[in-house]
Amino acid sequence: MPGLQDKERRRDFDQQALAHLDALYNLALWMTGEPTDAEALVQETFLKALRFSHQFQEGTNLKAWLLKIVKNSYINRYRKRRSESLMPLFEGWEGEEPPHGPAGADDLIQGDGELGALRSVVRSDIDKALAKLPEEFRIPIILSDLEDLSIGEISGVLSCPKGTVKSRIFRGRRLLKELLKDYGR
Amino acid sequence: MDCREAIEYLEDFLEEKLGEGQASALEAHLNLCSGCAAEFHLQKEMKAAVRQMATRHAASPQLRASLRQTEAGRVAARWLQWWVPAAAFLLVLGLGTALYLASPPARPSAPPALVVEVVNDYIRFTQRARQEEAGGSDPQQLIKWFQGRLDFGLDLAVDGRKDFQLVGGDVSYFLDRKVACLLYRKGPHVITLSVLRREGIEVPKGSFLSERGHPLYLAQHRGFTVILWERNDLLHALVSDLDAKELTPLATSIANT
Repeated sequence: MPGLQDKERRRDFDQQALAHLDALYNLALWMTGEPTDAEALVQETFLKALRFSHQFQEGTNLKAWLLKIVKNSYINRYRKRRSESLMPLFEGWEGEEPPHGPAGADDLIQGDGELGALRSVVRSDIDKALAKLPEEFRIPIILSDLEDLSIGEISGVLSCPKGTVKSRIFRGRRLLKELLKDYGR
Repeated sequence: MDCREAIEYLEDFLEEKLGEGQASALEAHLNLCSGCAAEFHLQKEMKAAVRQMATRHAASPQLRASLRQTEAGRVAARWLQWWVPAAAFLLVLGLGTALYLASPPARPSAPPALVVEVVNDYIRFTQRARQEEAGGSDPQQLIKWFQGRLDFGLDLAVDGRKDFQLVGGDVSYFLDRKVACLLYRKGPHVITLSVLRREGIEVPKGSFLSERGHPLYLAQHRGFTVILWERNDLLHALVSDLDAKELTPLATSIANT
């Protein structure tokens, strides 16, 4: 019975979409800097995705498709008033102790070879530095290094060529390193 | 392997996605070229720093619960949509005409997803403080402005009628694709025309013919008028607070050019 199959397919779709909720919220918050805005964006994305679930091609990457809708909705909503870097999340932090007080032991990067030079950088420093990165560098880095998307997938989400994605990630990491130098001393 | 290739393959190397041959060629290059080696170490270090130390924000339990409800609501709505009328039908069969007359009126069917979405976009758009758009209001310049900003060709006579003033246009997004969004005014009324790739989007059935024959689909949602049509694999959606009679001439003139 096609009706039943359709129903099952939709229920599966809903559940699979919910499994990516954290990824969508993470991207939304790294874009907007405001939890309320991020939640509104995720809600909007979910409603759209559920409304057009028949449009999603099974077998393709659902996470990347949903992330693309988050990014598109964000541009529609905030293009006219977004600022270059993400300040709201970190307002009042400049030159002060982070609001949660001094970093605990497990917040410190443990020297593991890779991060040796940044031994004294703390979790909040990385967040602050990332938030200061212009959006064009911040978003591909978040998608690559926090969401584990491939360059090809990021290129699809951001609707830009792979070469552009790569160079934005590289340049973004160089900027990040510059920003972290001060914290690492 | 030269420096350009080394940089090209660096990210795949960091992700350990490079084939053995290419990986050893890259390693050989990194041993010889201090510039690329420094770049490699910086990229590796920063990738690890973000991966291990940056905050991956998690959705709140409240957000998760509210979305579950949306999902549950959808399941319930589908259940109602199918089973309530079915049950009513059986009841009518069983109890005859008297009960049939007393049965509640049929649920109005939900508006098509496409209509809901274009009206939402229209409302969001008209709530913006500034509606004059990036591409300018000169029709020829506007079409040129869109070239290269869209992933499809826009071939429209956008200034089809004198009584509708073209105010501007901009690139916007619909679901997973780009939209050419054009803005018109007629007196105090705002009209948006969205043009997007149809690909996979269900166009509502039931249409009326415009004066010169191109099939148009007309809908009303939340007090707004929506006129949709397809042309060359593109979907066109005209939305306004004007009523259907006033909006149709603009749709006709654009759809038939």
